[in-house]
Amino acid sequence: MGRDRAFGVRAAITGAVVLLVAGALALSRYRWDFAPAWQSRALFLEGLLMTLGVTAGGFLIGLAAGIAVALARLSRSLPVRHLGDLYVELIRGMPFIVQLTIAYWGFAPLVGLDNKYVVGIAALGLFAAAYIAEIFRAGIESVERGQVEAARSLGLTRKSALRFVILPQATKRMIPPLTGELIALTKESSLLFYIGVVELMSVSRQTGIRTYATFEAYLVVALFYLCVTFPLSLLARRLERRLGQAAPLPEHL
Amino acid sequence: MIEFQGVRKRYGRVVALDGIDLVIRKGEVVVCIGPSGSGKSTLLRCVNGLEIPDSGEVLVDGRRVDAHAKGIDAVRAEVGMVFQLFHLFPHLTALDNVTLAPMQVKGLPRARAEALARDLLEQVGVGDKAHVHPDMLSGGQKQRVAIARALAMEPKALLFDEPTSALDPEMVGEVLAVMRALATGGRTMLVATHEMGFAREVSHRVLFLDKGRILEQGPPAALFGAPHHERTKAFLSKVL
Repeated sequence: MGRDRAFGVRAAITGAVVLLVAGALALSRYRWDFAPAWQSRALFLEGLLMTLGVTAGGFLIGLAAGIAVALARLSRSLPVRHLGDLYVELIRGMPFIVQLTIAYWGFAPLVGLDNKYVVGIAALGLFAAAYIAEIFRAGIESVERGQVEAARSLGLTRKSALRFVILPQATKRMIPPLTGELIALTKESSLLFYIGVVELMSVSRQTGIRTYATFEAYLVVALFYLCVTFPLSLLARRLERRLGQAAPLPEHL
Repeated sequence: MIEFQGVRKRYGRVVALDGIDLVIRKGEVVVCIGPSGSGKSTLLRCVNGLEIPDSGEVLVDGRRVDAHAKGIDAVRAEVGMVFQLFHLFPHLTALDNVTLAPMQVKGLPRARAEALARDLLEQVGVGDKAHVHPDMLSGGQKQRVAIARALAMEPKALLFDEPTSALDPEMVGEVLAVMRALATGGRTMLVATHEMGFAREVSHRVLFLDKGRILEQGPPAALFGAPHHERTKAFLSKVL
């Protein structure tokens, strides 16, 4: 019952805010013209597909590279650990657009790479890897020490303990923050317009410039992003709640 | 079976073990008592390399325990350990908790590992809980599953690190009963505990630890009946 009421309140507030914003926009002196955006609907859909595509590609690369970086940071070898730390600090210490610029106009020509999609997805992936590595590390370190001790005291090797005892518990706890990272990456992917990838942001820019209905074009693209991120956000929250219940607290707490 | 030679261990400025010399024979049940912080846990944890002594040596079956060496896994596989806080694997059923090590360490096929696990769970009185996850078990049941898990590796020696200290009083008995059965069955056991009744009835030898030293040791009747040291007397007067 409490949950139904909370849902009602939330829906009412969301509705009120939407109405308020829409009303204010409608009453303003601005002359609204959504026709150009509507005419470009096919372009917007292509842009959406491109956004989803590069985000998915970037996320997959980010997962693979993120696991590698996380394992490096948990390594017993000091130089390897430091390399992992360095990677995370470097990537997290710079705006993505700077990295993208360096990657596309700096590194890519150096290695003779001239495909903006490949460079864009790779850059997105390597960017996400730093954050995903942190999520992995936090997940692994969140498993209490007693679990490793129990596993090792049974004669399991370090690797077996990680595989059969630590990771199954850690991955569960990583799913909600990973969903959050996927949302962040969806938004981050908008910067790929800068190197000429025709995704949502790029489509709305073109539409705006071509038809002078700039405001409308960006409002539409804002809605598109929300349509992608909002369900993900709900999913993340639900997962958090469900996994939180399924995974018991540490036994002594 | 287990041998300590001048083992010292400190954490920063706190001395945990201050020169331990000790020999535990095969089949012997040795109970460690002493105030908290006296080094009981550290003593046990040195046997399977969960702690690394600063100096001195620990031998198990004549083999040096070296946590950094490759052989440590073999030593650990032969020495079972039961923890105060159980440390069951929460993502696995009771049965899978018990079969994990035999399958992964010894390479036992699943069918054989499960048959073994069922026997052991039956033996410790939780045969009906085989397919239950740890969060659905009581403290006493968890600890008995943990004992079964340790036994599944057919260890030559068992370490019990305050196995009943985290239990509700009404569950202490069921765990002690299992331990008693193991002790009378001829297992080599090293037990850190505050259960003086268990020490008195079951053990062959009681060690009184104080500030990282074995201050006094002897058969339970002698140590409990006529302690020599003032500190032993003081401790016993508080816990008995």
